Amino acid sequence: MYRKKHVEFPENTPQSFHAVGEPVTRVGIEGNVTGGLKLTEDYAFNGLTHLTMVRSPHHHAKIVSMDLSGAEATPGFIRALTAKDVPNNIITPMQLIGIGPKDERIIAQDVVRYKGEGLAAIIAETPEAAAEAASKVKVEYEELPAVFDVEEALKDDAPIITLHGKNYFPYEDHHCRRIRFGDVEQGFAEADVIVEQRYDTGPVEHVPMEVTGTICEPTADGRFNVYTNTQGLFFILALSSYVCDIPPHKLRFLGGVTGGGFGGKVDGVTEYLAILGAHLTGRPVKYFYSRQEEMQISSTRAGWRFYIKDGVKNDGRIVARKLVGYANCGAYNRLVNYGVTKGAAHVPGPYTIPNVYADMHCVYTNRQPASAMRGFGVTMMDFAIESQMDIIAEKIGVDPWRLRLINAYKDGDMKAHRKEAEGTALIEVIQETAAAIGYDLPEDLKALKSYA
Amino acid sequence: MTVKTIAVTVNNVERHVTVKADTTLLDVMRDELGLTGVRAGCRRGGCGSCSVMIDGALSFSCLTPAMRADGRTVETIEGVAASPSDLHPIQRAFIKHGSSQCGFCSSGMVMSAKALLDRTPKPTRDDVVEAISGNTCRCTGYASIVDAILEAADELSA
Amino acid sequence: MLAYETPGDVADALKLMGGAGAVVIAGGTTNFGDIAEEPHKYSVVVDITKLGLRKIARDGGVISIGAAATMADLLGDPDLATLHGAARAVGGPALRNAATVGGNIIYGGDLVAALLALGADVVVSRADGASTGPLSAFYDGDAAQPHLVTEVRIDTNKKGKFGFYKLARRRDNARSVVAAGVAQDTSGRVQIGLVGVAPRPVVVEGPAGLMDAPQSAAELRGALDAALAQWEPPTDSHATAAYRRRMAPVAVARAVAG
Repeated sequence: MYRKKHVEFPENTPQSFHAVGEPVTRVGIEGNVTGGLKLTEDYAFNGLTHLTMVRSPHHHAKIVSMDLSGAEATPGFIRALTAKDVPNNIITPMQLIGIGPKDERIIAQDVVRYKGEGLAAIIAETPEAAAEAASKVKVEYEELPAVFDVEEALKDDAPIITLHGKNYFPYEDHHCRRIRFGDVEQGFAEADVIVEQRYDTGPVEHVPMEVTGTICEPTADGRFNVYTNTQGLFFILALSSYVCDIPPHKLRFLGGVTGGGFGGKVDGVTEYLAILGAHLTGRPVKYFYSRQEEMQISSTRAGWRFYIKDGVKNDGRIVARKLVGYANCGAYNRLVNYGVTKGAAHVPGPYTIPNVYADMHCVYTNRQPASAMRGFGVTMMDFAIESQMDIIAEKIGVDPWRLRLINAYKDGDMKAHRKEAEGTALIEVIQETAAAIGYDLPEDLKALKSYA
Repeated sequence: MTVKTIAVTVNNVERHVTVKADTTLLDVMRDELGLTGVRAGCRRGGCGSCSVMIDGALSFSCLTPAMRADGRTVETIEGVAASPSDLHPIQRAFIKHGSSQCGFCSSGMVMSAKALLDRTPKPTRDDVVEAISGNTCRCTGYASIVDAILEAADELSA
Repeated sequence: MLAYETPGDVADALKLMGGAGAVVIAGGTTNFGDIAEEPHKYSVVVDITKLGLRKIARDGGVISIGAAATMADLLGDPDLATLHGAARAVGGPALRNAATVGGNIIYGGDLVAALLALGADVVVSRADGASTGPLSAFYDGDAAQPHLVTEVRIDTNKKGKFGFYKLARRRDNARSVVAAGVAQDTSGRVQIGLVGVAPRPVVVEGPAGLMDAPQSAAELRGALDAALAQWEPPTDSHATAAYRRRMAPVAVARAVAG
């Protein structure tokens, strides 16, 4: 088993460190406060064209027909991109590390799976012409039943909304990511009190101050300069190469300056079509979300539902925890499957509980796709677990500080996902927090330690 | 009229720009004059990133028809520092307090701070909070921005 | 291609407004962003800021506020202190430098809650001439015909008490959930102006003497619910109809408490 080694750096003394507790000037901050900072949208290009998406007004519908003639007749129209123009029109971001199935269309083909999904990209001389041309595209839809709730989506009679035929992301042929540790039923039987509760969290939009976008400029040597504010420059370069069927050495990604991301700019979205547009028109193409698209189309934090059932002794020891979680990844799985795995590894929270059971689901619905956001998978679960801890404390009449401290994990404990805990510090952090806010812990709790 | 050539004095230089009915002052600054420090955040007056002074009054350039800027005086973030090596006290205070992370909102924050201090040299903390209430920042949590503006006020009124 | 016209008098403005695809802008804070994004939806922008309507005049105790006066103009006028709370509730400083009184009336903004409570009159120009009437009646009028609000009048001779409260998700620069203005005249009669409780601003009679004998939200709820029963509050990204209905008496109680 992998063990992290504790390494000493004798040349480093406390006196040789200067960052913690000291103000450090942010690199490049002069540019921030003088307007000199150059963000993606601040680069100027001769002959820049503008890309606007035609978007679905329906949550789930068959595309019966699409008539581009009105757009084509609009002054300033250059060309449209539809599904047939995308060389590899089905991806999943984690295909780069061999994780599938691929499920996401870059441009909708035959079916739209969420309100706002793009069916055609309109490239025009000005943003206004692109907006006008996009408004003249006529699409005939046949509406299909839609599903938005994670548990509804997993019912036998739910409409299947994915290309791979299941409304859940398959984890090695299982319908969820599972943790089995000890015997929870046995634990419940031994418990004095059972505490059961459901927790729901809503999706959250990152709202970066700078909207997501890309400008792609074809160069005279047959390459493409891709100016992007993505948070995942190399990741998206590799995916762009695949989607556009352009070898990676022809894609020169320029980025690293992001006007706020918070996880919302990890997915490639605008890059693929800006590159394809530049490839097919020979002109620089700008594809930036409008603020409305940023709010309504871009990835969100996934909404989650948790059911937690705990078996607790009267003294506060938790002897069994069963957790069933559902993450709503929306119409396409971007990185939520990974968040769910992180969440599963986090069960049962920073506590040592002898009997643990978890079923963590990544569920497809007809919502806008969700993805990364600040600790995703763990943050929402901590909301549920820590709320549950407070409810337990109240129910059995044990001080919530005590409840957490006596159940806290310690170095050497085996975690539910079979990793030995090391470098744990929950006990010390709680003790320090109590001291910092003037809460006097009883002596037996002050004496606890995370390590032997 | 559908197009018009406007004369607008920007950061002390008179500029002549041909604009359309739907052209925003924001687009004139960014696309015609290359003043990209004026940020396009929401284009609806919701975020304050595009703030400039028009005839000394704090304004959202995204909601100002360019036609209306004819004959007016505009100051942008690029005109705040006397020179690259001689920053305005507000800018220096922002650097000292780490009041900018991604940097996107900072242009508008500095303009709002300047609009406040131009009229209220000794603001209270509440005055500062209200002065930047039209500016959204997603990184800092605002406290360091308010601290910086108060320190700049002290320096300017000393 | 979209045209931009800056009429110099009200008659010309009304003529331009009657044309197909005309869109009026004053401060531009509500609609210029939409116009700039999708100009093809319009044919002519009618800029009404050159009609001479940005003035505040006094005649006896009656203050006439031109429709192009901005929120910042109101805040700069000590005689209009009664309206300062409501004017400051609108946006942030940059927005208040542009947003006009007329625009706030047309779009039913927070200032209207105060104006309705105070029994303000409006002067409205139509093709067949100008008329003056209570602001409350303006919202019953025909909005389809081209019309321009040119002025709003407040009679400061009516002594009394006034309170305003805007309930929003943040303290500053947020759309209101509910905004309430409460005015009590010398006879003890109470008028409550409300924004956010209906698809349009409304004014209802409050319990007599309310400003002297404040009531809690719970005490106010029954009467307010009854008075507002005919209206369905809007549901939008700021609040649901149910939340708005629930918060209306809270906003009124806080307006009274000051």
